[in-house]
Amino acid sequence: MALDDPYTRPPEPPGADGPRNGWAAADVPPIAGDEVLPCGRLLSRVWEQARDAPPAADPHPVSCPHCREAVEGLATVNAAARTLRDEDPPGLHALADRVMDVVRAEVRFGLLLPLADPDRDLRIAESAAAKVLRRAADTVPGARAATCRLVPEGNGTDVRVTMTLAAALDRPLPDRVHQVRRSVLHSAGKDLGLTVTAVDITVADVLEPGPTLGPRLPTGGGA
Amino acid sequence: MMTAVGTTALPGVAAEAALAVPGVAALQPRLARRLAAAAAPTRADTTPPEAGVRADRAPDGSGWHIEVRCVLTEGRRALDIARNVHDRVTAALVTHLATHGAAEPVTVAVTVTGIAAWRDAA
Repeated sequence: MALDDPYTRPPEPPGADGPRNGWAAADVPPIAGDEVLPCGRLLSRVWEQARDAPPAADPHPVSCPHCREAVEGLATVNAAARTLRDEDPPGLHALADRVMDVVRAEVRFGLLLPLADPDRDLRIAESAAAKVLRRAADTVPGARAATCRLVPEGNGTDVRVTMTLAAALDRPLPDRVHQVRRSVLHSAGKDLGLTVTAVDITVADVLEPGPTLGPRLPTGGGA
Repeated sequence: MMTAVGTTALPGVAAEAALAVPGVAALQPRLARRLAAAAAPTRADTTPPEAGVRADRAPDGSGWHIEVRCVLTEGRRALDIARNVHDRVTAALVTHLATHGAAEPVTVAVTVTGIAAWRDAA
């Protein structure tokens, strides 16, 4: 149970019944956000008593409707928890995996970028746009896109592209980079409809000539 | 005054209009809906298309703001499809609200979350 946040003792409830042997006598501090029942007992203490104390020790919870209701609620939760524990431990792991897959997929969308229509609210996920632009770069012989990031620029629909490449050295790099930039700009306009103001390209690796130019493997970065 | 049928049907109306646009492969369920589907996998395959639509009251209460998240098919310009989705969804909603005696302004936002390529039906 999380006790590391600063707790505050709830205000003394008016009309608490007599010596509050239910909770005030215990030296454990109350839990932050603990609920005070209409009879003045703390919910957590009622639950603890129901779990630990023999019924005769304190007659109040037996006679008090609020305490009884609280204890019955706990019993329901306990039964549900036992069912989950007994029946489906692998299911819980699978659930956690599924939830994390969903969250990762959401993160992978990346930024939302404005499409080139100033009059309508139209956007595209960075991951979707980057995939198209990486493929455009790959159409240039001797070039393979590695990462591709897109960020909005200014308040309009302008977008700036930053890409890293692996490039073969059989031709001057500036020519090849220029070709890639042209291909990316062309695709951004024709396939996506993005107003790309700049394509910053860094050659980060050397592409070996020959058979390594097979089908591309998925690359990370830029989502 | 807004009728119940007018408000609750908005996502469905928007989803139907969006899916009718050529180039729209599917609607992308929102995070909350996908989490709910992950928690109850037996129902995951029945996630309705309107899960890809979010309908909110405009902040100033003057109408509706609708967000449609869609996955496109390859081969057409994303901007053109998104524009088409925007206009058709807006028209369908305006008509729907008017027929239910609840004519109110509607703004529509379209988000392209993916473009399905030949090898990955995203």
